[in-house]
Amino acid sequence: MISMFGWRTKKGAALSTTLTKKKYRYACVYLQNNDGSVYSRFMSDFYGRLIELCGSIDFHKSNARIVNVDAVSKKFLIVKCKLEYVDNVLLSMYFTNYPIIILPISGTIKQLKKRIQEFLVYGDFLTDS
Amino acid sequence: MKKLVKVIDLNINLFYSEKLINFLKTFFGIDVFGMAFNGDSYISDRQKKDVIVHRKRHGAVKSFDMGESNSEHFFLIGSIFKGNADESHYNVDILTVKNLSNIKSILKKYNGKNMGIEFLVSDIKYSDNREIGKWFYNMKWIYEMCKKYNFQFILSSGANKYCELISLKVFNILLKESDIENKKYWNDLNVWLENKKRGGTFYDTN
Repeated sequence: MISMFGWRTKKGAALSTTLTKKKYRYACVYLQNNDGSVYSRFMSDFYGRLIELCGSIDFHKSNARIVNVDAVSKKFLIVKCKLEYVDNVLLSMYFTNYPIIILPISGTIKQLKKRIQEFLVYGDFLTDS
Repeated sequence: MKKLVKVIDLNINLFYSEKLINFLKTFFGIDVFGMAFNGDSYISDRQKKDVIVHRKRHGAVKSFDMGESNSEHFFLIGSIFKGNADESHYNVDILTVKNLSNIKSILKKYNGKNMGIEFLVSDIKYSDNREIGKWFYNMKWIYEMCKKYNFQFILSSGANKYCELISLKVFNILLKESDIENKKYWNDLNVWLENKKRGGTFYDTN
């Protein structure tokens, strides 16, 4: 079967998957003072902000959660969320009460790792302090 | 390729360094920075003239000090409005609003002076959610008032720490949440700043 876009699909499955596939974005924050407890406190504060600023319905829709990525320092915290709610997530992150620096968002883990490497080069004066 | 519309943060209270500027450009997408300098620490590099805007507090004489005359730097006089309408803000380029009481009388009083009305995000970064919600509402209201009375609305980070710095993306989200069209905002701010740099008269095209 040939789809309207000219792609060969298996009973339309591939086409429908492409159209309905949920897109996610990865937001990364650099924790300036990471003494171990900051991680959990930051997350509870961030979730609290997200719920109160954007509402609990949007909070659950955003599907925001922490992602553990290998070979990434503990000083960086990666939050995965749905593309449509990335603005809410960034806003809530900014208004948390912790010394964090928000890195540019990425669409893939690979791109995110690249950004973290760039951050470590350009932002060395931040990581030293 | 040269960017036509520059992203401007006119209130960064951090110690100047080349690394900071590079970092803000690369990671945060900010092109023009408003920074306060001591008399002896003016940046003499002519190439930085388009990138750095010197901020001075109201009361400082708008004459050329040693450093300024050498660097030929453009600077803006800033003042803080805390709700007292009787305070004088003549010859001020940017009025940073900390309190909204009596702001309307200030807008009426200085109508047509080509002044900028500045809102700092750092003022509410650590506030509770109720205050943040109110701040967004106030920002929209001030924006409309600025349009009505021919002032330039300015949103700045007011960063005193690195964690208070704002990226272009977050700037645009803040504007969007206040129902301010970001393209128009950046365009207007660019035009206003260019006008200030030229030192020319402000003509209201409306």
